[in-house]
Amino acid sequence: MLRIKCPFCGYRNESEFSCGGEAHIARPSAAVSDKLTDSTFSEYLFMRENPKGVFLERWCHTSGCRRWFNVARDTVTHQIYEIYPAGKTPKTTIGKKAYQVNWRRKSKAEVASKYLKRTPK
Amino acid sequence: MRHTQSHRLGTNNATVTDKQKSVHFRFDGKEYIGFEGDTLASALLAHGVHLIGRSFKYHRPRGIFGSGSEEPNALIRVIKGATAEPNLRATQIEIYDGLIAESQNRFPNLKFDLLSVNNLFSRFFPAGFYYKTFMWPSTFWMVYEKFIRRAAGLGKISKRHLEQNRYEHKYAHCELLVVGGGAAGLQAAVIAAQTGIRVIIADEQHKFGGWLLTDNNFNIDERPAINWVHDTVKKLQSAPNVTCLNRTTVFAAMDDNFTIMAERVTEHLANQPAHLPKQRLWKIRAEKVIMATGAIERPLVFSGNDLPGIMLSSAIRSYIKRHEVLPGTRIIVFTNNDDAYFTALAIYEAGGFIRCIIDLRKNPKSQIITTIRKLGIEIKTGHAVITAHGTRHIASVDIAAYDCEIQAPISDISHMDCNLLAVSGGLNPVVHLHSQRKGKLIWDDRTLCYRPNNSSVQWVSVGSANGTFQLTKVLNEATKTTSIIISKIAKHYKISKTEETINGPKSDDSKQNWAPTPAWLINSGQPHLSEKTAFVDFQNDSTAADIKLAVREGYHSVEHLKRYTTTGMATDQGKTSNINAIGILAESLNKSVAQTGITTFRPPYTPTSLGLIAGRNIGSLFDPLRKTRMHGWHQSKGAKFENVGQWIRAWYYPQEGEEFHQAVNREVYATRHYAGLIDASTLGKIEVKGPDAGEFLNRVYTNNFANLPIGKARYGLMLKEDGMVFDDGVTTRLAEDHFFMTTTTGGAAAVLAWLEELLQTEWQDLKVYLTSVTEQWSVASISGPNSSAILEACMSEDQNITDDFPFMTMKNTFIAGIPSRIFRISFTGEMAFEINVPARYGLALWSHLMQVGKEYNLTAYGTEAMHVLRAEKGFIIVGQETDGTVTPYDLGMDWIVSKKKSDFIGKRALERESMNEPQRKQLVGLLTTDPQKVIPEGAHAVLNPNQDTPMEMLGHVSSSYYSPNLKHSIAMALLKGGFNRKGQIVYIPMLNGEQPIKAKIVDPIFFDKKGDRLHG
Amino acid sequence: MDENTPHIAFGCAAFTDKKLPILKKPEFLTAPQIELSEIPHLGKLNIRCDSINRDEVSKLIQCNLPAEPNYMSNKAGRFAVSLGPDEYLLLAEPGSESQLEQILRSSHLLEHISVVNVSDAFCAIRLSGIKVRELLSKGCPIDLHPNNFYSNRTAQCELALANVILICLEDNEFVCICRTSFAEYVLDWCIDAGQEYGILISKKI
Repeated sequence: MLRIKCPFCGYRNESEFSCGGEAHIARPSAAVSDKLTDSTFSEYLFMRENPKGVFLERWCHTSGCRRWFNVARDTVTHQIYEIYPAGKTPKTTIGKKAYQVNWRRKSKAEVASKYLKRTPK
Repeated sequence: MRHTQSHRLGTNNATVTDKQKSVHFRFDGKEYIGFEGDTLASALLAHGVHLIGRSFKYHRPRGIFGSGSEEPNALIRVIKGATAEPNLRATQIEIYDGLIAESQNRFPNLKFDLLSVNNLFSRFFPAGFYYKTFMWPSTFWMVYEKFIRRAAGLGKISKRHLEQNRYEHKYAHCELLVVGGGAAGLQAAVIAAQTGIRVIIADEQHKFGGWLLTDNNFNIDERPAINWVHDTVKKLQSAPNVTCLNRTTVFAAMDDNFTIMAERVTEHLANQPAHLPKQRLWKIRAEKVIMATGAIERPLVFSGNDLPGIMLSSAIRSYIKRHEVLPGTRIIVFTNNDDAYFTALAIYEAGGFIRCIIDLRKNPKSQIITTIRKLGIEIKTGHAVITAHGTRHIASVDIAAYDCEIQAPISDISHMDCNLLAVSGGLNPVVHLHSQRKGKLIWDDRTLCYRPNNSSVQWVSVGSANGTFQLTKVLNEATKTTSIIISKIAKHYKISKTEETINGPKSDDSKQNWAPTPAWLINSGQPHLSEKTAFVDFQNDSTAADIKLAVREGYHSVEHLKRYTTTGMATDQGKTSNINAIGILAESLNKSVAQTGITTFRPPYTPTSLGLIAGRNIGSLFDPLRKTRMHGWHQSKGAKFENVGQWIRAWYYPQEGEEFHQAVNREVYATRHYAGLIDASTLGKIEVKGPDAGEFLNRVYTNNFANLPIGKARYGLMLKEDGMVFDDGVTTRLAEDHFFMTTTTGGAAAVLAWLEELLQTEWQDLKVYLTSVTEQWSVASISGPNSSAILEACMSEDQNITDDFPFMTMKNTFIAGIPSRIFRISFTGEMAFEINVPARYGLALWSHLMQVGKEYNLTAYGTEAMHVLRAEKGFIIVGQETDGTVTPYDLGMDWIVSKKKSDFIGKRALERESMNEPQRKQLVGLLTTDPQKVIPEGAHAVLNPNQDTPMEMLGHVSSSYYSPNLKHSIAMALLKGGFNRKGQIVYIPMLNGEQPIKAKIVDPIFFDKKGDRLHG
Repeated sequence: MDENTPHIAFGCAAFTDKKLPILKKPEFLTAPQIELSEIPHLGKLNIRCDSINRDEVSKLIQCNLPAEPNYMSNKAGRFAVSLGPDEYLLLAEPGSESQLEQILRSSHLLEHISVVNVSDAFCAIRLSGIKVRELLSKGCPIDLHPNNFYSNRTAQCELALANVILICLEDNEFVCICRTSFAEYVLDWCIDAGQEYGILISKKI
């Protein structure tokens, strides 16, 4: 059982957390998603990276403060390299590298949502 | 009849057994006497009892082989009161007055075992036997299994075990966990203890000291080793920062030093105190772990090597030194290393007769060998035991000169009789925990063992667990390694620099020249005959022949070999067999052992009882049962309950003599004709607050909420991003920036988590706060034509319910003086009110309503009646009509999906072409041709019941009830293309051989289609 | 409320139904080493606010919202427990919760904060005695060593199969706050786990 450092509560057992899967998947705004084909949208919906090595993923301290945060974790050794806030990008070299190599960030959904910003409220 | 302790020595120097205290026990019905400190094994050996079980496959006689947790043969069942615990190792059971133990796996008795005919037919049980025999036809497995289970069982468990045995859990934290209380472990702990950090030291045996309890003729710091042990343990036990746990096995080492151990708290006691558990499971989070787990001797593999009376050399030494038991009178020692000479010395000093020492090495030289020679003990170097003979006990051995290079005997065979054979094939460091942590192992060609690579910063192995076997070196290594590890915990932990803390104590251990010679399998010259009885894994009965057969059949990887031959897969986890198996495999493949590799060890290190893993999470503590505040009332009225998630809800309230259906029908009928009251407190409730609350709800519900007027309620449907229905409920606007959301009972936690996730990760810009208030409010929902009259009777006179309380609105008011939030919403189709009061008033409100409602025929109804009432109206239940693959369109709820909103969760997914496929499963109603016949829920519908199986299925029945108001069976079903099938006939085939049920597809609203009743 | 008002329950039903007091101890102990009781009807408010509004809210409720996570502050019988970076639980004297709620709801901060009365949603259990840390360690995975979990430290964590908010008042005195529907489980679990120490369950506050 891993020991994970919740940014708020400190070190706790893995059993108190739930893993929310891959981080940094941009949800296409309405304006963008209308223009996406079904298959491109399905890619956003269903496809996830599954690397052997450093992975950027979302965790929630379910049995504690219920806050979400991001983790750079090696999927082989379980070593955690970085814990950083939800909505932010990693700061460590290892984390930054993992952020860049993920091909999905360059997916059509991502590219499209980058250029067509969400309509301001 | 009491047997004499014929093999107990006359001396009084035992390191463990206390000869002053006699202990009476029974084994297989016979009464024996042992001494306090004896294990069952040592006490039986004292009486000359070796034979203790039959082997797993061939039912060969097997005796006590080892002296600790490595024991492969002596599996025992211990009986206590009405319960019994199987598969305990005789070498670890401490005897107590009144102990009753039984051998296992024998029928009808140990000495004459009927199933040992398997032994004669051993050619039928080769490697992969199970796989080969049971591949085809697969249905025959049922037949085989009964035979196999009976023939190959490893003990039985009592059904009443958990009633009489208490197991507990405990969490603990420490800076340093030391696993093993031998020389290395004690030295590590004592060094660490000085710094004030929290240290836990755990040892499997009941006395600390490890091999020093056996090799007690050495001195440490110029005093007898045993004295050093006593002093060190005393020091540790008096330190407030040290927890010393004996009888405690660390059986699992997990990520980030989460370490699990089993402490045997009271099971060694004749009278177990009721307030303490039998065993305690420790879950430890340690900053650092020192693995000082020691080493286990491995046997030599030759024909007949499994006979009772053949024992590990180190085990014999242990029985002599710890328990003063010498388990034989004419003894031969067979070895490939120096360690066995210490056993010879111990036997000699105990007055035993050593016929000779047979050493595989051609020309071994060391101090101990010289010592033994001087004693006049015969040593045959360059020789081997080729075969052991005997029926139920070893009687003689065949000996020949042997060349380890060419792996063959090089002389004629000579015969020598004996009744005890000590075997020593070298030492295996106990690397299990290191391997469990995914630590890598290195093969050491000099000491012939796998040792840990010690590359982790979280844990480290020391002493013989690390392949360091010489005592002074062990103490030195433990000292230095501990200092390094402590300096990594925190800089301020300083160790005072003395000779003791820099280098550790010195010993006069002379075991300098260790070097064993490799000899994985002794070739008799006729291997095709001898290898079938040359056992590698005693517990799983796999032989050298099995390994060679597996190799011939192409199983060259150790991982494959292990699974195909089952070597190392028994309850002893191959503690004595793994390395020999790998050695034989390597030789067969003409590879080195290092090239061949080793399998990964996995938890648990020793068998662990399931009761211990469950701990106190059993019986009434198995799962929290959540009750509403009205539970006491339901109970007093004899309600039957059902579990909804962790909640326990009133299901129906049977009156005297009523069956389930009669009660439900009465409740449903009463609600439609007079009034019904249901406890709806379990519904999820969330306060949604903030300037962006309206916008937020707009994004999570399919319909519009931003335009909901204050004081108004609206039903909403929530989807996940894939367009599938996730939850539903009514949400009410309390203020411009304040909503009160309700969710399904089962979905409450998931909905809150999902909404928090969206706010925290996806829409961080929205200013919305969520707070769960599920348990703040108790809810009584009153329905039926009389509901408004009852409500008015509970309120002050100036309030008029019907006139100023329109459908789908909310009111803050008082009922019977209790501050309430009343919602005029309905899940029954009748005029209904959901009354929310602070939970402390829940029971009071309920009792009051029931009392006032008496004259209006108010009836309490349970969840079953609620289901019937809503099904009559065609209202869905999320989780019943939906299963994560159902869209709002599939439910015919197009009306709730906004066409105007630019975005909501699931919008784009719903627009996918595949979501609008006309052949998707769609929600319809079913009316059976026979109005009394109720379709089982979950049944499948087909168009033609006479087609061949597998039939083409149209869909399944999601809800089905008898409607007392329609006097007709009604059902809802999800059928392919269902919307266009209305009027068609479908059939529901029955599993029990009954005729298929015939039903007509109809609209799913069965009752009051126009909804007039909502308004009274 | 007039005299016809139905009676309110005494605190959490779990405690009422158990026919208190309960005393369980091994024979050799003369006195129980753990005492357990409910603090009924304690006012409880869930407050959500960002750090910029923390000081102003603190002034209004006359108790500092702790800036540091996993800590509690207390002032004149009011306790503010941090639950998250923007979430607090205020424990106040019974009956004061409505007034405090009104004060916050009518303040100019209303737009930026959320205040919800959760007095009945949670049950507060007081645990004391020399073996209380031992008892909790049977079900609570966090490090309860006095050097680590001392007076005014708090944690949201697991206690066996329930989620609780654990508060350390004094060395051997804790408050455990759980959802009311879990109170019966927590109580039963404590009675079971405490049998070796001797445990007294009482109505005494």
